[in-house]
Amino acid sequence: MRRLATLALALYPRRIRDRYGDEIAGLLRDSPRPWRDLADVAWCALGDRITHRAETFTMARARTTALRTAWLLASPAALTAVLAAFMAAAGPLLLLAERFTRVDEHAAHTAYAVMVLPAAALAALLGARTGRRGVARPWLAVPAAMAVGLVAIASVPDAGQILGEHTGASAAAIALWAAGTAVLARLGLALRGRWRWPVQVLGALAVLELATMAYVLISLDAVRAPRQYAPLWYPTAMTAQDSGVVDGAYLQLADVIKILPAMLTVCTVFVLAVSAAAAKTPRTAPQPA
Amino acid sequence: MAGLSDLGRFSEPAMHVLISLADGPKHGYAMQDDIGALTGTRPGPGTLYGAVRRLEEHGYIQALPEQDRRKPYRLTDAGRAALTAELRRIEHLAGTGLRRLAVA
Repeated sequence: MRRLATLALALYPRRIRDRYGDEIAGLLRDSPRPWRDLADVAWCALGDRITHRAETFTMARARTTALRTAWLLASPAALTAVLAAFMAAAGPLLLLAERFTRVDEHAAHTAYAVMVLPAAALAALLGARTGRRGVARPWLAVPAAMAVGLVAIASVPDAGQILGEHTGASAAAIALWAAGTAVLARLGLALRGRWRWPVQVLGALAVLELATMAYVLISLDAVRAPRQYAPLWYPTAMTAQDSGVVDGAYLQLADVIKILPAMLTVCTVFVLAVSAAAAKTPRTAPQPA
Repeated sequence: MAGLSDLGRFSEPAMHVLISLADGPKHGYAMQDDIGALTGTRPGPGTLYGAVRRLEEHGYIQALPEQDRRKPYRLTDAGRAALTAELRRIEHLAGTGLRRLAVA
């Protein structure tokens, strides 16, 4: 009965439960007709939850929610532009470097690949800023919204190939990434102390590996992409250190998958930054709980 | 003053709570017993505190410091005025009805 009473009280909106929960629990404990009173509490709690949600969902909140959702949906496009801008900036830097040292094709491609680092740093800053402004259930909302945004980009004819030549494979990789990142962000909220970040970094690498594998497995057959190289696909695509894992040719993998692994990496940093910042930020607005 | 009518389905339990508190502060358990004796039906904790919350939000009742781990409530001046107006309205309504039935 005590457990059922706890469950019935949990149906109340948090604000009401915090204020009257102990008193209601006391009456339930001493009730001469516990089952009738339990049903009464559950019924009233459900009613309060519905009316409280309607009362607190003001136009101002609706506008804020709409703007934040729009930003989350647009964030993959913004981050793609950021990554493309940093890659474009690598060109002049390579020209400058060529005046002092020899820059071969491998070094140039590595320089382009390294540009994911400043893009990821910027994504972390943007993510933390987004998280501090408050996002409800960020571990779920952010990967889901970003997945929609990424799939939308991948679906654009011609230009969408920036996230991979095979749209279906891109969509599958993005869906897998979103699910994995959501689990990872949720895990990050549950973990405390020194293990949190090592677990998140290793988990993120595992998710990115799996998403890259999903793309290659769907888009390329075993003749073009020998399966024994599967664990190398993500690091190869990220570093441009390609020993010929697809078609036995240098950078053939990058030619097929384009910047999808780099974008998913930047987006992962964004999701984890939003989630971490939102968890630290106290929620001051009235919550429907 | 909005009166009790805008408390929706809680307007009747709210009136019972106000009547219960009219002769002095009471905590939840005492209110349940008193309303049970008054109306023949002991209100459930959800119904009782649904009314208590709404009355407190309207400023008709006020929580007092805890005594023996129970929190008593008292009627405010606004609550007394609202209860008086509601009982007068019911008295007028009942009087009219009974006159029309010619049994008053």
